[in-house]
Amino acid sequence: MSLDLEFDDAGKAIADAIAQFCRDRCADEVVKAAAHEFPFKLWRDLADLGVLALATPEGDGRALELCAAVEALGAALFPGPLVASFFATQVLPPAERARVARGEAIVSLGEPPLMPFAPAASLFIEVRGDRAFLAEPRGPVEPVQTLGGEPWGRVDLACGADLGDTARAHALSDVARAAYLAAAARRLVDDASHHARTRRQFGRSIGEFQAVAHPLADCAIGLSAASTLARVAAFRFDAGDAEARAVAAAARLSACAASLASVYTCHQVFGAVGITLEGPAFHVSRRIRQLASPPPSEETARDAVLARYGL
Amino acid sequence: MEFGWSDEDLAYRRELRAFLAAELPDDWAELSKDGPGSEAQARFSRDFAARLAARGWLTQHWPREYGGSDASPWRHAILSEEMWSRGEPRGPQYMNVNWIGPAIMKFGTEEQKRLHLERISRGDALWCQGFSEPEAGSDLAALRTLAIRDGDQYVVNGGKIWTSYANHAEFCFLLVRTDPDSKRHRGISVLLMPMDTPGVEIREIPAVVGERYFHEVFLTDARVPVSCRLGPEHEGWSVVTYALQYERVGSPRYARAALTLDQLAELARSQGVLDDAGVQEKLGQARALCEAARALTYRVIDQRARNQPPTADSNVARVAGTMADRAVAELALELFGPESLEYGTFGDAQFRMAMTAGVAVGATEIQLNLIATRFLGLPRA
Repeated sequence: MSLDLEFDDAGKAIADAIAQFCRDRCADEVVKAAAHEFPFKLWRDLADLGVLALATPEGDGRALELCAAVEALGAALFPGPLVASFFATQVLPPAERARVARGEAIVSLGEPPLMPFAPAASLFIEVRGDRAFLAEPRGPVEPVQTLGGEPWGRVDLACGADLGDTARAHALSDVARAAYLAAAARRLVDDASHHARTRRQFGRSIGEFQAVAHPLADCAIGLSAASTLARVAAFRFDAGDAEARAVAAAARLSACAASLASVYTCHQVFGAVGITLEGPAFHVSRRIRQLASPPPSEETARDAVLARYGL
Repeated sequence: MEFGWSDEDLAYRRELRAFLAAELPDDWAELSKDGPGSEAQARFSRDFAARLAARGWLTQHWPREYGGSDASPWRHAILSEEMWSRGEPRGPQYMNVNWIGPAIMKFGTEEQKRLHLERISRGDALWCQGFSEPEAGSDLAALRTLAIRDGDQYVVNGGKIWTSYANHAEFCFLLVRTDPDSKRHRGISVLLMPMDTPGVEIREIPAVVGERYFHEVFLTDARVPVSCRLGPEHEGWSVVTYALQYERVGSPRYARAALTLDQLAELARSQGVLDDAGVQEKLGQARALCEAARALTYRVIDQRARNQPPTADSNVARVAGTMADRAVAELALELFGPESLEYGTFGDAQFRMAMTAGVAVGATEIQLNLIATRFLGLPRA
């Protein structure tokens, strides 16, 4: 048996390309500005790289490349409905799937009336547990200000066609959510560790105090586990493994727990500067907090994990 | 031992609830959404504090000679619980009422007592605390703001940071170094500085917990009369230590957290998930943390009511409150799902509060150090 959890050359290539794209196009100012209006141009340029077509019949790559790409996007806090888009490309008919993959259709996926990215969306998917339906707005979208600073809205939806089996969609979107959250939180932990190395109190760097250092180490452990689980789930997805969905769900649950724990730890390390709007932490932690909540709910992920026990 | 409220206490709590029901406007939730530093809430809170004062409730636990009514600290605790469970309509009164006033009573000159205590007891003055500096946060004794004596004035130069409500305050409880050659805890003094002193500039630092919450205060050749010094020159650290003993226990944030839990339980009931064993377990755990924080805070109030010196119990109570805040925040976000992410909902508000809980009023790490050394007798690192 061999076990290699590093990405292969294809995965590394796409991770490097996305990381470079994010360095060029997704600085902190862009991330913060995205709180006010949807960055359509940036989204379409990301689609031009083929990212949104990954793991689709028309796309070039597999779930592993998707995982590699999303890790890079998470580390850059790339804005937009990434998880929802990867869910959508697994359940939509080919024509709509192609529009999402090309970045032409922004996906709003959720449980109405409160719908993520609704003011920018042209394609609505209503989820109910394990089922998903195409939906159409019956009226205007009322914008809603959110903790995460993403453009959400309330909208009355007319539920349409049943999109069929969602198992692959759940698995792939769980992989994406886990990879994004683990990478975003790792960035926060790295920034907090830098602060702990350079911020001096009581005549020494605060990182010299174990009360500061050990919680950061705990974060690194939890995030490494979540990130590794996401990669394993992606590998199994590509291999057509029946357990891929359960592993992806476990990755999502692990990433949510580890990233939220990291938010509290890192805010504690940053102290008051972490509570400022312009500081080094809040634009990361608000994104993590927001991504940890939206549908499909954690309950569906828990059910997927427990399925092995016949529950 | 006795653990129960007297009939008078229960009647007082009922009276307070009726008062709050009558005095808080219908749009109080909307009005208070942007926090106590916002213009809208600040304006309301000044008026509200004056109404509390008119009823003799604002500083009832103070001695009669200073505008109080010699009421037991328990009475003040009941007031604080009821206020926090309704989102603290007093605004930033807690500093003046809880510890700045008592510090002035203990260390102030007759003139200072006359000038400040009556105004505080009337709800007529707001204070801010000028403690933290960019290089002196948890390590407060590293402060560098200098106050050099020039005749009957101090010339103050330096800056403070994270100063809450500086934009609304009339006075600042300002910590300065009056001996430029001193180190650490020596050579520090406290000045009761009017905020309209020339040379004082304020800049807001936008914060996640509401409008005008944090500020930087720049002090450039600000001249403060020597008569504004609280306590002996160069011995301000003992004044601060005394004051912080009153501050450490902080506000009864568990009361707000418990209110959020009650609302969560109602929501769970309305959505038909209150029977879910997982929901019940988490609600129960969070409730237990709130009640633990309440019981530990009561322990501190009891010590105060008996005029016993403060102990590390106040640090224990403070950390327990932080744990309760965080547990309720996570539960709110989990139970409400995406709806709790809307700005201004109590899921959102509780999350923002929870992020500050372990930082404000002395970081959790400092509280844990104090518990380890004072409570458990462990050696200092």
